[in-house]
Amino acid sequence: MTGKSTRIFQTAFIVNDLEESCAKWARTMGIGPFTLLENIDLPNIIYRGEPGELKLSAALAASGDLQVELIQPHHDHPSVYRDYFPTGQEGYHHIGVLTDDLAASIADFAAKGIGIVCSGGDPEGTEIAYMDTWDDANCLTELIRPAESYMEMSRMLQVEAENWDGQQVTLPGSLR
Amino acid sequence: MENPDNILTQNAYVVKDIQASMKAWINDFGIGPFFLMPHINLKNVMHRGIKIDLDISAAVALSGNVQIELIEQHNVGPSAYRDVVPTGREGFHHICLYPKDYDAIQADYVAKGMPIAMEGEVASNGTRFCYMDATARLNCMVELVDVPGGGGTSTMWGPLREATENWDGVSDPIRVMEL
Repeated sequence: MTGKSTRIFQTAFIVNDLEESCAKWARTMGIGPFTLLENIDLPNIIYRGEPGELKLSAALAASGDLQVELIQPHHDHPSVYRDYFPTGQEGYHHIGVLTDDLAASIADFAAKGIGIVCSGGDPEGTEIAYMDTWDDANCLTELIRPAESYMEMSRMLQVEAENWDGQQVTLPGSLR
Repeated sequence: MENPDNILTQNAYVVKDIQASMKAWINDFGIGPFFLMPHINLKNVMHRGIKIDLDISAAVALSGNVQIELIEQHNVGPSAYRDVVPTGREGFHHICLYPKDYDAIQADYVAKGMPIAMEGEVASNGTRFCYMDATARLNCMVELVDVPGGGGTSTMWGPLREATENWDGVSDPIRVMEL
């Protein structure tokens, strides 16, 4: 990222009811279809320096080059989601940025005084870190070091959006 | 550039100090240069059906194809910004569309139960804009923009794209654009 402009890849919201929010985005904005990733329990979560737990369902859809992510946390305990949106509250949470070197990107932010709120991964090897840019940018920044499966899914979202007839709002997805 | 009605082009935030926020975005993300439009000369601004005086500065920069917009409201008083972000606070405010048929899309939003929170024009170039109140559905407003002569983002923001592509990350990170 040094000297290079960050390319925002994703805009993400915390929501209370995932299916209802997908329907709202589809009806209001014509954005869809949303691929549903239900009941994810992300492994290797480190939350503010301690082992943690992050259970959620997420829905992803493409709008041009931008990915819209809706997240329904399945927990009430403090977390990278609940610290900003206590149970029952909704709102804009993070921008997502792809990196091919997570450690270097984290170090870049660290050099600017921006720490990690939470890090983890998915079972297929994608690694993520939420950086605390809230005071500067009014949102967190999710760094994503994608596994091939993640990029494959992102490409699929674009294909599905281009071919979408607006009928079926959600499609089943999985992290395998 | 073909610009379908449902392609998101912008993430916009209401901020307290636009200079400080631009610097933070440049520093944290390397996003720039920002085009700063100080005290934009707006006309016919209506908030919830009532004519208002509105004094804002706005700044935009590109991250790939996504525009980051920062808005500071200078005057005290109601607006679509204050509907979402009270005085003294900051936060995410809207996403933006450049619909091909502005009036039809605006009517469509109203028909779906998302009223016009605020609308107006840029005095110098006749660009029309409105904020549709989608907060109950999307947790943000949706801005619709109608650039005279069509062309949407490419007409309005060609110079910004060019400046971004040619930027070395250092020179003139904030450029003033009078509107």
